[in-house]
Amino acid sequence: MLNIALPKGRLGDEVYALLAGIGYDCPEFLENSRKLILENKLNNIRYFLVKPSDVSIYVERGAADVGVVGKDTLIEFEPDVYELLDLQIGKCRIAVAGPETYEKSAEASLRIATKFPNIAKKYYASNHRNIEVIKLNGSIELAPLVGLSDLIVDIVETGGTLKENNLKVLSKIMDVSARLIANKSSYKFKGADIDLMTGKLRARLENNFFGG
Amino acid sequence: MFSVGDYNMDLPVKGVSSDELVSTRLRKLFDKRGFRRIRVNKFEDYALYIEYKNFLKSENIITFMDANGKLLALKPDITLSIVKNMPEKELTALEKLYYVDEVIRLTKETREYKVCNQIGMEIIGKTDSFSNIEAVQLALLSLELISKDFVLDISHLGFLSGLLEQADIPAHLKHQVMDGIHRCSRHDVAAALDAACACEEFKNRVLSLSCLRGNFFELLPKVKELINCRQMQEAYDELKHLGESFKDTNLGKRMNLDFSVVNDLDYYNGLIFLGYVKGVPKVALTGGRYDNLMRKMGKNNSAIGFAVSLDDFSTYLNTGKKFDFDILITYNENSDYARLLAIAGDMAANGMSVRLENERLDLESAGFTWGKRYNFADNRIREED
Repeated sequence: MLNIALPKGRLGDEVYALLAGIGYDCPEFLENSRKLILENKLNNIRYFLVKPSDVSIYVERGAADVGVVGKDTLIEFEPDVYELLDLQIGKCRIAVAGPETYEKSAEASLRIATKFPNIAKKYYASNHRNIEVIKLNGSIELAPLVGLSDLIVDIVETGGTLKENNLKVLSKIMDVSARLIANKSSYKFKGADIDLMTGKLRARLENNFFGG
Repeated sequence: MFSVGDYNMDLPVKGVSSDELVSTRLRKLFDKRGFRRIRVNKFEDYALYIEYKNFLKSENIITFMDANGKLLALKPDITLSIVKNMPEKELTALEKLYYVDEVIRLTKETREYKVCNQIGMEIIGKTDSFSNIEAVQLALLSLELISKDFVLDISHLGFLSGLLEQADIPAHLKHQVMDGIHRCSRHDVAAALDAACACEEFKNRVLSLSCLRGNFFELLPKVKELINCRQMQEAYDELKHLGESFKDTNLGKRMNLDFSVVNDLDYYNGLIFLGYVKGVPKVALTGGRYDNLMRKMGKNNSAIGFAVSLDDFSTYLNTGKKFDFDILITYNENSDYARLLAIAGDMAANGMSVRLENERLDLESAGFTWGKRYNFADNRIREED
């Protein structure tokens, strides 16, 4: 039985569609129930539905053999897992954003609100800027509007939320997308199953890429 | 009156936690192979960790000032202390050592310090190719003593560095390539090589290496195909030589070649390996050759060793322990105590754990569990419900 940790929400739905398309379907997934464990014994798979930022924890600690997680989470938390495939979905970027009226000051220490303190610290260290990180768990865009921070470091997909709140992207830190990850120990003992899934996913992605 | 011999100490005691069982078995293994047990001081000069901080998994170390104002640390690593205490001059005979000790490390998830129990071995001195074979065999045997289902992933840093040194890649991108190989992240390896403007032939060679994971003996011919310099040839020869001692053996079937096993080239070189056992989601055994560390520490010797982290075994491996003890025998003030002790001795000699308690006491409400309960009164032993 292969245990797969899927992120709840839109990314999870996209990943499920991808996996179902290569033979890892699980009819219960489409029933909109509140079940957190969905199983298809015929396919020998079990899906766990977890909070996106928790996927890497489930995989690193071996509760799930594989999972799908954003590259942002992998860079921020550095879990000790294999990163087998770039799934080319959930594409977005991590960027520095601030008020449209923001004026750069090279001297002042910056207050940065973010869900990604490690990424923010590394980015500003490489730019030789001193920052104070304010760790938030959501609604990051609010922070500069109410004076909690000068700028934010956050995921930007279309930029719509930023625009509605009179914020703009000031600089891009990195592009991110969803990755297939595997527990290292699981890979040693279920490697054939994991490789089979990875191979089918890779073939599907290449097929999509070349318009097949 | 019975003697301690009656307890039949060779029989495992039921209910002993997995980490204790593993520790006992591995100690016996190292003893039987003529390794000498050493004990390292609980505290270490903090300066040692400043100088070799990259050797450690974490920079977070608990420090304190001793009575003379010297800054000491609760040791986060044992190998550094062992190497520090080795003489600088070439040893006339190999030091074959093992330790069972604690290290204090910061846990990544909770950011709390944790006492981690380790057992490990080191071969230090004028090591030869047999030292590699002996270390790998002991690593395989150690894993087998933990679980019947295990694998040892083996890599050779010389092969990897021999390949990577063939292109003029900036240090930060080389680090990204190594990191991508370590995470089996083919796409990140390719992206780093593209950023370094590596030629297509070199890129394909590195990508081929990054995908090599699997049975040691099946993959060796594929490794051979990638050789195009002396360093890679020497590394391959070493791997091949290692394989010859394990080919067609049961232990050999558990050997994998896996170039995602990488470590800091400043300290490690040559053969490195990681061991996994089924059911334990983390690495169970880490080891390798660390001649570069020896050189950095001014020691005119080479070394290879490995360590087994014991704490995860009690969490993840089931010893089949159902009860706190197999047998509970209750007695009263009129019981024949010498006979009672003899009965307990007989049961222990048969591998059972036996608890003796006054019948007045209520072990059940204290939360204890047992397999069978007997009452010993009037010189008769009766099984109770």
